Amino acid sequence: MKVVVNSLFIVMLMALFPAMAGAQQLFGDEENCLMCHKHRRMARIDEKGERRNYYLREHAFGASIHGKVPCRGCHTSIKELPHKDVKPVDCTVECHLKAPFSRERFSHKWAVKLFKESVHAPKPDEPEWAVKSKPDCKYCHYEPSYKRPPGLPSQAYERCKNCHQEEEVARALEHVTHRLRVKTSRSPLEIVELCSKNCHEDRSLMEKFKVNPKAPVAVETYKETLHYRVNQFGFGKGADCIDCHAPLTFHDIRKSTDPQSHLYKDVRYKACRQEGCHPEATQKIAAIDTHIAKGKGLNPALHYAELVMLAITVGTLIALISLTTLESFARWRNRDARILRWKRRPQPLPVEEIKGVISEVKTEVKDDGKK
Amino acid sequence: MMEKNDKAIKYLGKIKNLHRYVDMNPKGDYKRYSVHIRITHFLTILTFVVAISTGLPIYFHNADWARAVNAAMGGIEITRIIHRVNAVTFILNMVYHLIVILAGTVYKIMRREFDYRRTMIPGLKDMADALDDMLYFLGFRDSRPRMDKFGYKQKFHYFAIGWGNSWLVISGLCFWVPHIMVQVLPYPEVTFNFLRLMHAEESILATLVIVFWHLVNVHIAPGRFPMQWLFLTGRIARDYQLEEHFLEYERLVKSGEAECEEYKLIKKALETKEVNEG
Repeated sequence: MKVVVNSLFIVMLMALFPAMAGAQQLFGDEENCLMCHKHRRMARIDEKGERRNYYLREHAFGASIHGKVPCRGCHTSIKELPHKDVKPVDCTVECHLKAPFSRERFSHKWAVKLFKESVHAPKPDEPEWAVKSKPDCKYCHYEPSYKRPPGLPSQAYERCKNCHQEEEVARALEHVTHRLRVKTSRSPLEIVELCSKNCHEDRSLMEKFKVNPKAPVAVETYKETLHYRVNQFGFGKGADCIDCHAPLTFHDIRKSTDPQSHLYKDVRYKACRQEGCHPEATQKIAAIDTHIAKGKGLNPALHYAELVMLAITVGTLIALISLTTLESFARWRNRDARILRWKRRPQPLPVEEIKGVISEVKTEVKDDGKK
Repeated sequence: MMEKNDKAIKYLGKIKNLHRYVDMNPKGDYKRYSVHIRITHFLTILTFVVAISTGLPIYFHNADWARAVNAAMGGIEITRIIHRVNAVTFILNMVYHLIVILAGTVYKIMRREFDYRRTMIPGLKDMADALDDMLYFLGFRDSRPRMDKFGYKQKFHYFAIGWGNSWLVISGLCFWVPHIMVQVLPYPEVTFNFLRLMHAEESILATLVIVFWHLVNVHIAPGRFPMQWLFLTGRIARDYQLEEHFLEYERLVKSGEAECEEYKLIKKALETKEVNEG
């Protein structure tokens, strides 16, 4: 009731300022929703005591990918004005846009269908904690800055104008070529952060899901790879999470043991072979573990190899230090060397030893003579 | 000359710890290394220093010091390029050395001059020498063992480097040309990541050997500091030769290439009062 009264009050307030109410048509707002929603302070405290903001930045939203969709294209539960509480948006709804060369209205339902088959969709028999920790559409598609990818070269639009006078055609072209120009608006590092933060980097959570023994360390092991380092240092494009786990449609991330997965052992090399990656990749190279798991349980061979190498290194270090220390002290003590090299002088002759040698050689000579 | 040497040879090896009493030329007295070995050694120094100073900042790329080094080189991508150019030089140097060793051996065999005792081939004598040396250092012997042209230290070091370098080249290629290496290596899914691990481990091991064995033995140990000019002139100082390569000295004296130091010492001693009185 409170909401209705509030909304009514605002509508009446707007009526007093007709100039403001005539909003600029930055996006498909035929029903003039902006009359109310363009006001920055349009907000309320909801039943849970949280502040809900209903202000819409028309410039930003108008420039976004959904800028041409009428409000009620998504917010379908609104039937009257002023409206009551709205239901959360269902992305599978058929909005008012009609895809060219198609009789269907546009909908995200195909993407949602793929997503529902993926590992990230909640399953009916799953406990509540599991459902809660899984992402919904907006978890990944939340884009508060409404960043847009770089546009097409201006020549592309100039050619459109040969037949189409309206600027909207150029915009449609930009829209449909969006995914050809960039795979996603997020940078590889942003993708990694999106998947890691509060989710895949949380070891205990991943262990609870029991995907496979390597899953809890997936982020750590990825950050050891050259793929990540190339992204980290920004000298080229290294594979991020979705490049390999969802190379084509993004939504169909499956377990690698699932034959339909892009990373199933027999077809994995195709993911490596993507354009701009490793066109020469073969089954053999794809068989090599990318997330190099270390640790006794995960990769015993590598674990023990590392231990052996550590033992050899430490052993060599101890042996060499003790040998050279022993030799240095002994050379010093035995008068083999006491001084710097450039100050070296021969030691005094060992008179007694030389006397002995002379007499020994003389007897030898005498012995030879006897023979 | 031969007659004189015949007379002198009788005294060969009669004076213990001869190296203490002889004089030496800082530029070197006895021929030891050919120009090829000196070039190889020089290239080894160069490639080793560059390999370590670019490899460590690549491996520890997240450490603050590594970031500074990488930034100084113009970014980690430049450090990688330097590391790989250096790797090519390193491999060519190894090939050069193998050719020199093989060609030199064939040449010596053809001239019937080949003597395995003057080579790096390890034998039981080296183990005995190492033991005797330890006993001398501990005070149980009164002189060092008589070692050949290459003592147990040189042989250990040589094979340690040969072994380490081979691993480094193979494992380094796994980073550089993985698609070729998977075709060459047996069981790449097992060996590949192991080799990649080995690259860092082996290089750290090699660095330790260089620092605690070569650097100490050749530059820091008493009487060795700071260095001799052997690496430039190819000639070894007399005290070195007599102390650590006595058998090679003996060989040179017997062939008439070097004078007998014992004979010289005794002649010098006979001129002094004390010996004459006796």
